[in-house]
Amino acid sequence: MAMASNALTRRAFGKLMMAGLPAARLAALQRASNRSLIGGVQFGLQPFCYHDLAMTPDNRGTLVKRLVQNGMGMVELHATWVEPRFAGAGVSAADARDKLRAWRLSKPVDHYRAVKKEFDDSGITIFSYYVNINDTYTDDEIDAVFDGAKMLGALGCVGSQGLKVSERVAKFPGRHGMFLGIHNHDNLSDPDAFATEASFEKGLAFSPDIKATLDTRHYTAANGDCLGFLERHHERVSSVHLGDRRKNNGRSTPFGEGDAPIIEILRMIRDNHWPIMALLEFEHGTLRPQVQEVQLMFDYCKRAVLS
Amino acid sequence: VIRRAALAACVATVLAGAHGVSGQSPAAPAAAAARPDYDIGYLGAPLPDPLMQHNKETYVSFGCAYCHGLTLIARGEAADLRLSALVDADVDGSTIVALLKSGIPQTPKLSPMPQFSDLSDQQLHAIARYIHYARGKAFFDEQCVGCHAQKPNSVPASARPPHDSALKNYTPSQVADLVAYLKAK
Repeated sequence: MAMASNALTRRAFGKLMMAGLPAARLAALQRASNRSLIGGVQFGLQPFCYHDLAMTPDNRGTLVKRLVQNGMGMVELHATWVEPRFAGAGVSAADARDKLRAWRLSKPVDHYRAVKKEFDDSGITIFSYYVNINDTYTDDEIDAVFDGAKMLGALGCVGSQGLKVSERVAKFPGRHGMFLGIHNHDNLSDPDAFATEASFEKGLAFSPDIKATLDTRHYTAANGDCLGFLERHHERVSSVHLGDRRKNNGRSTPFGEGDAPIIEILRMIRDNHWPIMALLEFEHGTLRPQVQEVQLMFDYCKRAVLS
Repeated sequence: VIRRAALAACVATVLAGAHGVSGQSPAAPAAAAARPDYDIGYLGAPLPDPLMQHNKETYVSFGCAYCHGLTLIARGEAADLRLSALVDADVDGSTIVALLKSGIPQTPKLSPMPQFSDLSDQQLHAIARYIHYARGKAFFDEQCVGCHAQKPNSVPASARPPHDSALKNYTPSQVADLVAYLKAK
């Protein structure tokens, strides 16, 4: 397999990814000295996993330290870690929302660059930017969100928006050379929700710039077949949110105690050299410190790909 | 009526000696220090009552705290268990255990609550008991601590909420939650 130059810029990588280059080539390109590239699989974290850490700008420094402590070189960063908070005493929700929109539209380039530097300096790549775009977003605001995400180095924006909003947003990522990630939950009764393979197929059809962020926990709880989904749609999958749950709307569990085929998923990604990021995300409870719990789950994954 | 009177009497008895109730037993931090795997920063020091501590750990271990919060301050779209009519109606797990076994079906607006049918009845009842304890603590901290965390009778009677010895202004579920909390403190 040809290895890419480490000098390849993230912008170039994004363009190549969007251009649909062969998966093995893309996997090689992503191997740019990242500390959580393990056994051929690029791992990262959705920091929801740090249940005790509120996702605020004030806690961003702690987040970076924890990511390094856990050996993570990649993150999916929720917008709330980045954007200032306007809610507070004496500020209505509507006012806070307006102020946030105005902040986004002000194109705070220096702010995004400073945040990116915090992660860069610690050797952490921001793979995707998690933001729940909804009907309150103006077109200009959606563009501003993609602009901001790009300045952070992200290749795409991911969110829990449903089909209707995804259809509206589908035209935006291409303008920025990025992708829009669609993320599933296990709500099988909402026709607008991403939960089944059929709902993903509808969403992916809106634009080639839409990619699937397959949440293995919720897909398993909704009695979906993660391996079959990846087999059929891997070319349109940007990442998996890797975690465990039991079938039939069962509870979240530590990795290996539920029904999600985590080991098989990871080996499928590894053996096929698919450029699918494995972003750990879990909701199961623990009495242990959160960094310790993340490490245990990460170690489980490492064993899966190193053996 | 008899049950409520008995509960109220229990509350009154415990409240009569309640001061510094928000504090933990001096032994609690030491116990936590002996458990390096216990996240004392997030979970707080172990409760003085080991049985209630077990209930709390069950509530946390099976992920309830992730959505409903350690102190029942919910995250995201999860129900606020402090205000839940279903918890109000629960007596010794009568409604909570059944709900945990079945889960809550999804609606077009809300994600479903997972079902926990693989847990034992003991575990499910432990979760129910912790929910009542935590509600009682939340209620105490909000309504009672102003007088009862002080030295007894340091707050003039005229300044106290008029609950009198029968706690007649409180609902049966509030009284039951207070009992769950005060018995375990």
